[in-house]
Amino acid sequence: MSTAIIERIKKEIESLDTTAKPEEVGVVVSVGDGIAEIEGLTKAQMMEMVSFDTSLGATVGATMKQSTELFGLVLNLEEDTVKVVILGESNLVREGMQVRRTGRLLSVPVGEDIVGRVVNALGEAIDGKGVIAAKKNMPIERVAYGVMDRSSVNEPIHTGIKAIDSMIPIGRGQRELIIGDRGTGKTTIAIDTIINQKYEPKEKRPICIYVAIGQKRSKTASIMAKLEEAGALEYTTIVATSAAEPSPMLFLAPFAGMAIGEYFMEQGKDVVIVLDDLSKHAVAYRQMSLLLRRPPGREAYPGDIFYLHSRLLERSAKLSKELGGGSITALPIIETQEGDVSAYIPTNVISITDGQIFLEGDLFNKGIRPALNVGISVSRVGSSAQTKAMKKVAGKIRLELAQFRELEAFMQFASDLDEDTKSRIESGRKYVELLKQKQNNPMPFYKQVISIYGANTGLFDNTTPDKVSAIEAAFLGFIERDRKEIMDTIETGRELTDEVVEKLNTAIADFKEANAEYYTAVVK
Amino acid sequence: MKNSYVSALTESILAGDSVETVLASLRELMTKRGHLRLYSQVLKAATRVLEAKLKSSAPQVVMAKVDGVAREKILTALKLIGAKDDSFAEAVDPTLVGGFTARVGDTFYDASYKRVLLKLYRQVTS
Repeated sequence: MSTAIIERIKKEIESLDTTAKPEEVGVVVSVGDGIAEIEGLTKAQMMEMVSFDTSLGATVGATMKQSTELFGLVLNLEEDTVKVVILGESNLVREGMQVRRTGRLLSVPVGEDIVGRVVNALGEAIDGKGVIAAKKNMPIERVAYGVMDRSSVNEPIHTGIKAIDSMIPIGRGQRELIIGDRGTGKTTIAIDTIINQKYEPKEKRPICIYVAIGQKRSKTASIMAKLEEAGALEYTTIVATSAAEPSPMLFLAPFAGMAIGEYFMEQGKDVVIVLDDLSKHAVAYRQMSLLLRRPPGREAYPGDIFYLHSRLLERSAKLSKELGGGSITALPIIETQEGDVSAYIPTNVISITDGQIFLEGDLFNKGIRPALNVGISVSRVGSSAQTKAMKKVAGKIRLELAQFRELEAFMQFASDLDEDTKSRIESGRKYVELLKQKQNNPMPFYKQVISIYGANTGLFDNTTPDKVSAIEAAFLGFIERDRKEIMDTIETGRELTDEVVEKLNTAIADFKEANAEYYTAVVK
Repeated sequence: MKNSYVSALTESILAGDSVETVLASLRELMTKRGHLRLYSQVLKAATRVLEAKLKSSAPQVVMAKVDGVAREKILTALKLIGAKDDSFAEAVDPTLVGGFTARVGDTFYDASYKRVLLKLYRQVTS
């Protein structure tokens, strides 16, 4: 044994508090399905952690072999007993086992070191990179900040997705729901948003938290790999719970993520938290509630399912200057069945959040990706947070797309349409093409502004929709190469001044002249 | 309903009525009301309640070995956790290594070496 270990043990012995204190204990009277009913513990509080005495009758050596202390979480306070969900191996719990109160509400250890790490719902590292040095324990459940502690949402969070940043802008401190069927690109939007934060200046870059609720381990691993590859893991924490874990862990995961977010928010930092997804969270809570014998309601969900999600999402906030001005932007995800947004959980979360991004399977299958339905997607507070530059260019795109959607039905009668209608349809198709984006390829906002400005001012005139993507890439390349100052001015100034507009107009004219091959085929 | 039967049963027994008479009356009443299938559950719950009451009245002390701890130490601990007199039931659990544990009702006092050793182990390995 090295002397360092001996020294460490000596130090620990010196600092060890050996005094015994009276503790309140109870006895397990029944156990099953991860739930234990305990008699005693008359002073236990809701959400308090209790410790199962797995060492009773076992030798010190045998107890040491157990991985960690076994905790439970008090969730039902009944007349004679309390019901506790077991946070770990429930097969270690036996009838007659002694349970001690800890006096602590469930909390997660947090600190700067948690960034870049993968943790479970209890905040324990599961990425094999060692123990996380914690500075503080943050309670998993706490009351959200009140009205006077908050300020209005006035700063944008850029997702890097043109369709969202231009038409459904999200502000720092907002709660924007991402909703859609299975396999329509919900997680992709969330991951792209995280990746896009690398384009933000370091001092304004938000800390990102991705909470995987009941996801396949392979999916979480691939998300982690994507973030690492994109260089986004260095400012991201992943809270991972897999489908194989007991339902209490899935129930706790978003609360743990929010607690981690609050730690950074209270330091004046901005945080983006992705909750992927709350449908699985609701299912886990339903399972747990039924096992706790709480009365079922609609679709067998417990009566407080709305309160569960509202108290979680209400913790996302933009704090006032006096409290440091930090924020938590929440991007909850909901999976719908057959596009039914009027089901129980989707309507609940739609009404809690400040807007929704609706993804449609039909659009996805048509190749429109992100498969955003701009008609029913909305952002209720984000427009005041949009940058001036984006606001200036985004107005036209919204109008053009609205007109296109109205005329879309007539597209099949193309030959009978008048020239004006035809050109509107053509223009709409070009905008749809412009808004298409590849996976994991978010675009910084200044590039988006240049692209959309180009589309508004004739960059795609006299060409066909299938060339839009190529022209956009070539134009951005041209600006980056030959007119870098335009990008820099928009990036730093965040607005389109007359001078920039003039330079952009010249650049568009020069580009069109130099790249005539894109503009040869004109369809009337 | 079950709770009402349990409390009636325990109250009668604690009041000093004969256990046989009380159980016979309970059985008769439950049969009359068609609740006989709850009988075993009521008995189980009543046993638990009575055991708990007995436990709370009788302090229990577990030591690593017989007479392993000074009686004064034990009495001080028992007083601290609310024991009304100096009498207590003794038991031996060698896995405690040393020291003792005491329990009065729902209050527990763990002065065993095992607790300290486990605490040290968890502190060192965390």
